[in-house]
Amino acid sequence: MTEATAPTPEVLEAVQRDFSGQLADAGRDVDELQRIRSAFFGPKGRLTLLLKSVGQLPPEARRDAGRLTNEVKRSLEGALMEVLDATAAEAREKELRKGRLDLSLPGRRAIPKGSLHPVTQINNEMVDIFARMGFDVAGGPEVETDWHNFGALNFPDDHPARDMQDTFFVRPPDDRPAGSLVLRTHTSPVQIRAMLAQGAPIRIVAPGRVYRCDSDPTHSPMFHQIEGLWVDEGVSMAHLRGVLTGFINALFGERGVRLRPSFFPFVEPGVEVDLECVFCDGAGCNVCKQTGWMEILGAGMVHPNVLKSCGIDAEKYTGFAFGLGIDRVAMLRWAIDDLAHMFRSDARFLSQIRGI
Amino acid sequence: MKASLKWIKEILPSLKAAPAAIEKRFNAVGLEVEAVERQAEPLDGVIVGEVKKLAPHPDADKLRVAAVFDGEKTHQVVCGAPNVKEGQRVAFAPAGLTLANGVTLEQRKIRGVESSGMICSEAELGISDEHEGILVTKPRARAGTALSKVEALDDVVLELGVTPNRPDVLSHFGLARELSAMFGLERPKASVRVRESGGDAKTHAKVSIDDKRCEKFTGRVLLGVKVGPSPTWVKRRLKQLGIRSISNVVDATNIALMELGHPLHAYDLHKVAGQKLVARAAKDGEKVTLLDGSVKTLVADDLVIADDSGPVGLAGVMGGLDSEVTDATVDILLEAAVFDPKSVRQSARRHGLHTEASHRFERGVDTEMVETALDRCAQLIVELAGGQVLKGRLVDTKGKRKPIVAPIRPERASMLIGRPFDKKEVKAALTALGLRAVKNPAAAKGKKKAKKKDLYADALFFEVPSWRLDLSLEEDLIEEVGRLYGYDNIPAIMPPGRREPFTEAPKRLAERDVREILAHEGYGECISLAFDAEHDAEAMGLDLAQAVTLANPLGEESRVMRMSLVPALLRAARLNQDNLPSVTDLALFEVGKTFAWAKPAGELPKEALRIGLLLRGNRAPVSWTEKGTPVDAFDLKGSIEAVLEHYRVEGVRWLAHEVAWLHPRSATRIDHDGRTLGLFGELHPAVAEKYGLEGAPAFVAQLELDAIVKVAGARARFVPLPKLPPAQRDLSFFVSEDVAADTVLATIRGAAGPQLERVELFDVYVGKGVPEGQKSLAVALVFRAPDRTLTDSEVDGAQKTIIAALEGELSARVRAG
Repeated sequence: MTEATAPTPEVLEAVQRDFSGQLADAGRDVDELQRIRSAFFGPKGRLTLLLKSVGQLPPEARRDAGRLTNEVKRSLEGALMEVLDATAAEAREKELRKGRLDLSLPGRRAIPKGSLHPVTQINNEMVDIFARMGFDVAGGPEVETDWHNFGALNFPDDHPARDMQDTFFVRPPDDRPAGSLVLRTHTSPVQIRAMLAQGAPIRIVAPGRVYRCDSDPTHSPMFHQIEGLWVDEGVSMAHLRGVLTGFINALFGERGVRLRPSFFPFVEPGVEVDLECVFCDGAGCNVCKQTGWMEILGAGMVHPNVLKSCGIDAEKYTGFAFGLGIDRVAMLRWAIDDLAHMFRSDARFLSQIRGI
Repeated sequence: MKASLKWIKEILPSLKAAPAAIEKRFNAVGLEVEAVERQAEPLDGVIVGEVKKLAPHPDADKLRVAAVFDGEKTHQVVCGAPNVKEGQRVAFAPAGLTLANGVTLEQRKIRGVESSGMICSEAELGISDEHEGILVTKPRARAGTALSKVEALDDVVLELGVTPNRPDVLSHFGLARELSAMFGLERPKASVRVRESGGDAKTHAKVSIDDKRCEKFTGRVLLGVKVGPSPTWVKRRLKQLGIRSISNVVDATNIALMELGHPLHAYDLHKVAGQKLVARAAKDGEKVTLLDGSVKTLVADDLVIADDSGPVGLAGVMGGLDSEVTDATVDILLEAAVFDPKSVRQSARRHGLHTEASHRFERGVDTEMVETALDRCAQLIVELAGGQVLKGRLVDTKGKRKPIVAPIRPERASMLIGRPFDKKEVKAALTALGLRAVKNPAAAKGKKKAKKKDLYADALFFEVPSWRLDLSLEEDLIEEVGRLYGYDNIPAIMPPGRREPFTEAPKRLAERDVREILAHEGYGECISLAFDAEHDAEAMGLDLAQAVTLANPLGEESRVMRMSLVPALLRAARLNQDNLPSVTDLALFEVGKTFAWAKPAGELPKEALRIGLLLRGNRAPVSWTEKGTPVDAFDLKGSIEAVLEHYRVEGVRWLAHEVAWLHPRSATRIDHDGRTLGLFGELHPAVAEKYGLEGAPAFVAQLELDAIVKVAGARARFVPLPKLPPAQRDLSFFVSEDVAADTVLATIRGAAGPQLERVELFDVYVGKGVPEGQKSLAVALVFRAPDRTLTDSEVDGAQKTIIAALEGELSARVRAG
């Protein structure tokens, strides 16, 4: 190879032809491509030498010859690099396709799956809905005085209304009479405590555990209620209906709500609220005993005697209160068929009720 | 209460509404229909059969073989009833039918004779208690027609949930009265004309009141009655309502009770000593034998009905056995009275009784209904059992009640219900319910009292009828107006926004946070019944003197309110161990209250909000990636740290502590400035044994959520990220095994000065190469100054100080550093 002659267009064209031929022959052979690289562009490479020889040309020819040689070098070098890159990419692609993982295997869980109790999940949801309507959360003791649980709520002594709630009595530790302490039978005493502490206007919900001394497939001696109370000037039954309809729609989606007159000593008028059956959408099924409705909560306008017990002017203020069983809503939500599951701590039950 | 629609319609003939419409209306006005029994339903398929021929059974004296025609064909039926006769129209159930009692009739041989279907008695059809003979229906009934049609057995019986404020609807008359208002019909009247004859009742018997808890005591004397079984219609009617037929006289009292709602009692006149009854207080220790055969020892608070020889009944609850009407009874003293609701309730509860009578007296009876009920019952007895009613009623009374007058302001009703009502509407509604518009009673008394602004100056006033014991306040009347209007017609309106300031409830939020943290840590939340046995508290080493004890527990195992969350978790561990015998992996938590009386006891027991944790088995379930690493106390501690870190609690010390339920090797008290934040460690093997836990050890904690929230640290505050590089040194050394790790770290921190940014313990080793009684620890020390790069000599100096402190204070021997 003695091309130390001047890089004339003819010479360059010949080099180019030669390069193209060799490149085509090399294919994807990396060793061959590297050899071509050093043969043309290495320190002793043909184009390197041609470029060097530009300096020996007469000054007036140097410029054109230099430009032309450089152009050819760049173009050839670019073509070579393209092939080299493509070859490397292909090789890597081939490598990457080796040893595919079996991702049908279960994922690695460093920490076992924890869960919130269904009652907690529903409770949080309900509290959040009421928070959106401006309700605060209040709480109170589970062992209550007879006065807070009954007396202040307008349950007369020795009245059959007390039979509506089978009461657990706590033995007083001192000389107080038997029957003066109870396990709260409902969350309603929280109303009393909150109104005594805060007065009116007031807007609270009070979730918590309550106790009644019966135990059968649909009753547990301990269960959960959430109580609501809204007292302000001009609060009406239409407002009660508005808030409860809003709550029920937020919890169960939009569906019918029915109010029936009922009796609870601490409200007047008192109502029971039915919800269009969540299983049959009102068509009638076994769960709703073909009625299309399911009883969901008790409510009413706060009885003036209750407001008076708490030192609130019953002429100026009116309000409504409601209470519902959290456990029952949880049972509806997840089709849990037996209340006893709730409080048995069976891990097989607890781990089921998770996610959306 | 069970109610027959036919009976109601007998009382209110103008009521033409269909059963479904009545049902709907009852629901809408607050009388919840809990169940509907359609009488004809269980009789589906039972038809009129004509007994064409009757022949003796070849092999049985008491059986006969009947040819029963069903309108199309004839069936051969073996029948044992004595009253079956040729030509009768009878109740016939063909083969293949399932009767009300669940029996499916099959074609079979009875003593060798083929029998198809059955000729039924009323008891077999479930329409009365009559089981002596078969039901014989109308002689001209056409064979093959439905029996229910021919016998008019198409009644609908509603089971109504009557709330305790509405005793006025605990009768068919009361229900008819309520429905008349609901359907805009004329109110029914309960008037009875009893045919009297013979002498004056007063010469035969006497009733009197000797205790103000009896408001009215009335009686009637009936002579010459013939006690026996009731006629069919009575038996059927009682059966529908779930009442047992006893005898015509007793049944008459029950029919009158169910019709008019007033309890009545019939005495055998000659078994009443002196023929005198008195309502009086019992004497302490007096005994009475009641109708149910039970002997009750009375106390002075009981109100009794007594004759000259002693109590003959517990007033308003149950009559006595000795003066009971029997088949031999001829003359009767019939009683109707009014007793104090509280007194009846106390007596009934004291003696463990609940009867139809006590149920009504506790709720209150209509004082104006007493005489009507008495007369109605007397008339009914004569109708059913013959005899005569003597002239006049026996009456003693403590005066007449003053009627209650209540106000109602239409604008107040409109405001409370949320829909406008005018005077006319209010008046129409209340009048329909039997209230009577009256003048303002204050105005009638003179206008002198007008000093305070009279809220009720423009109000309407109504006199409440004697049967509505639940109405006395304006709100009560407003409820009636709303009830009649229909709650479903009230609009649903979102109230205006909140006016009171918002507040934060930190403890409630804490309860929620901590649950979420622990669920993320892999624990399943459980909620257990908050009752324990006394032995649970003892196993936890707690003082039973502080226990909150129930007076009426459901059982021995649930006598005390839990004093610790741990026993329930151990029971849960046991239950899960039984359910999953090969896998003991379990991580549970509960957030809840425990109960204990303080010393001295306050008004209420102390309720402590706590967290219980239980960990057992493997850290993660065995799988293709996890070979199964058993948990230990450090796993549990990690979860506790997650809770403490959330609350940014600082300065916690983990101190060895004696705890009854924890293994001495790991029992730890979490201390914060002398306050206990919790206890944890491995469950004591003796306690594990007591709760039946076998195999993998359990790790248990009980944390004081109240205390943790109280010592919560300050909110996080951003510290600018360091701009200069740190200098790091590792240090390893031997130290005595009894020196606690946090003592070592505290010594390092104390000696190092402010440039020690971090110290991390990265290795603990005991074994080969470590002297006996020593352990090898290795720490990484990270030094940094905020304003300049530390020089090697500065870092070396700090490290030397640390080494000197470890060697000097803890007798450590530094191996490398």
